[in-house]
Amino acid sequence: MTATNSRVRPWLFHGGMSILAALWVVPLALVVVTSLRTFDDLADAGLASVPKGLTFDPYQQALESGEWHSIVNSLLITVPVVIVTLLLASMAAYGLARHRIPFRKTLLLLMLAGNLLPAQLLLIPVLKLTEQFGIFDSRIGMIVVLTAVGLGFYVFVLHGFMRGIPEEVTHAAKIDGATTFGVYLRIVLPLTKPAMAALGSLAFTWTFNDLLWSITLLRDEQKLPVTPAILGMQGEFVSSWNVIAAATVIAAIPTVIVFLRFQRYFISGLLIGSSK
Amino acid sequence: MSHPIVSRRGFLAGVGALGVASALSACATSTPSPAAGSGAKSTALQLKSRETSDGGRKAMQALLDEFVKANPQYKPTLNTMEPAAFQQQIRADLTLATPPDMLTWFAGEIASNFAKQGLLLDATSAFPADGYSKQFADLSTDASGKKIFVPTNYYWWGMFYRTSNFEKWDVSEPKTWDEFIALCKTLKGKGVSPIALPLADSAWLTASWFDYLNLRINGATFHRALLAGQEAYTDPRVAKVLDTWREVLPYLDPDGKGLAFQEGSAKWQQGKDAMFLAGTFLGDATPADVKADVNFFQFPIIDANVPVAEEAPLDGFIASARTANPEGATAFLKYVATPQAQELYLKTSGSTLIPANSNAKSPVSTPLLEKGRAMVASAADVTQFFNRDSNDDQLNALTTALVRFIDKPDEAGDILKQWQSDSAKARGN
Repeated sequence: MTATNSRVRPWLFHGGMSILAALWVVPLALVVVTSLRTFDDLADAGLASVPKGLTFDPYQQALESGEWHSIVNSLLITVPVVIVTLLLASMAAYGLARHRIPFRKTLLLLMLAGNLLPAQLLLIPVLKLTEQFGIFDSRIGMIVVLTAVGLGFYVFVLHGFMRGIPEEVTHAAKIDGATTFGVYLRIVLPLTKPAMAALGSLAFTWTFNDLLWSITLLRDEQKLPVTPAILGMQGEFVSSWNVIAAATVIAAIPTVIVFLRFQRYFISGLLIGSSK
Repeated sequence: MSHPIVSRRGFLAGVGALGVASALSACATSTPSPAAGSGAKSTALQLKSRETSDGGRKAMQALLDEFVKANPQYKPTLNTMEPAAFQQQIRADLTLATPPDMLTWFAGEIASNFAKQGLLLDATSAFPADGYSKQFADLSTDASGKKIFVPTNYYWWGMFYRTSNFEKWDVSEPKTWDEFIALCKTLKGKGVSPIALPLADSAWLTASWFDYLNLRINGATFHRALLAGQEAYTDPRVAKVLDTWREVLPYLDPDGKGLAFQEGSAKWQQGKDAMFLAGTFLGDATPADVKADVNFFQFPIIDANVPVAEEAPLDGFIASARTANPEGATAFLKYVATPQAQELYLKTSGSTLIPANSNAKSPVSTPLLEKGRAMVASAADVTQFFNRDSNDDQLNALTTALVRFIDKPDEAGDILKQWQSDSAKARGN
């Protein structure tokens, strides 16, 4: 019984996993195949059909419609957001984790509670606020809002991670004469690197893929990041699915690069905060 | 040890106070700024468009280019936004301190509501004395008698089919409801699915069936009263609409629920579905070589005593009441009302649309276009479309009810009760 069991098990496991993996890949493959077909072929035979031929024209069309410009816009928003977020979040987390700041528990809970609010609730008030401050319909406004919106979560996660750093290490540095900021810069930051890398790649993906805030806070076509730009390729009734699919594949490239580069941290990052 | 904590608290309080003060001063100073800025940059004009198609974009730009030739003092820019996002943004847009000056929009209840809230620029002086039919002029007027909308073109709805397919199956256009049902039966006998109704991403298409059945059975007056909330969906006249629709349900493509609009139109185009109740955008979705083969017939007459009404959604422009440059916005509205502007737009966009100004000619006249124009012109009344005549919340109540009805046609009574309650809730009472 046990002998057959141990022989059948790996087969079941690999068989089941292959099916699951295939299910994951199918939508992606469908997008890639669609991006290589002509519009007439799609309109004629529908999405779920065998392509008559493959062509790179949709990619060319997507790039000609100004997709580079919107990817640059996305990066102009995403990169500052990631840097500022990590900087502010690590400082705040260090303060909250290692210093007896009054109301620190309340602060943390407040940040966590802020995360539980759906973004949709904040859209209109934030829109009005940015208008009052004169940063509506500007990239600066997007950077400020996206940083503010994510900060609570990153502080919470980093706080959990930093509490895991042994107190002895920071105490030793203090005894050797390091200032509070010196401890943060020389001891805590290097030790938090894996968490920062994981959060950085998460922040990059989330910010780069944001659609809700950009269609709320931006109006000028020239400033739109790539997600609303792709949305803009859809017509009211008719859409060139092949061009949209090609644009989606292109837009996925930056996040894929970031993910591949930080993959190691990404997976370890999933466990962040699980051990307090 | 307690001293530094107190001072830190004091410091934090100070920072907080500073922050609040600066925020308040920002509120106080930024509100009057658009008024101050209006004198300086009154030459800028922004047109916000929801025409994302290639032809639509080019046509909008062509309008602005021509407009500048006649009015070189203005500097207009085009800003295009995807239709769903556009629809979501427009309420916020109209209340911005520096709103887009002109926007594409459509006639109907939503525009009237904007006007009621004082968000739209008075376009009375831009509205030409002749060229627009009384119906179109009325649709452009708000409750106080001001013109708030300038229509530029419209399309029509009909039962679309492919001429070559009808010849192949040896069938012809029906005129009355009984002929229509007989046609469906014949087609089904030949193994063709008679009616396309893709619902996966376009459940709103059910509204076209409801609109037309209600118009044919109960007439446009009742239809409008129903949409305005003056009549109830539990009325036996509405039940009759569903009873009539029930006769057609067996002839709907059974796969329709799972198909996206584009897949449904592909299926119709391949001849797997024979007919499609749709607007002219259906034909625009077909490959170039099929376009000449696309044909339509009028929604069949059910009760010969009811005056014939057609759906002809009217598109055009509005201007924001808060524009920094009301003269420029009015000048633009005046320009787009002219036959030349409307002909230019249609020529550049290449869509199957009819100019709203009756002095304008269709630049590319096809038999399909003439047939549509004649049908709308001979109609005793014109409606816009369910959500244009009411609003999107009412449309949601409708799709919930009708999609359920397609699944469970025997629960009509229950469905109508639910619909009435949903509709009243959406209206806020």
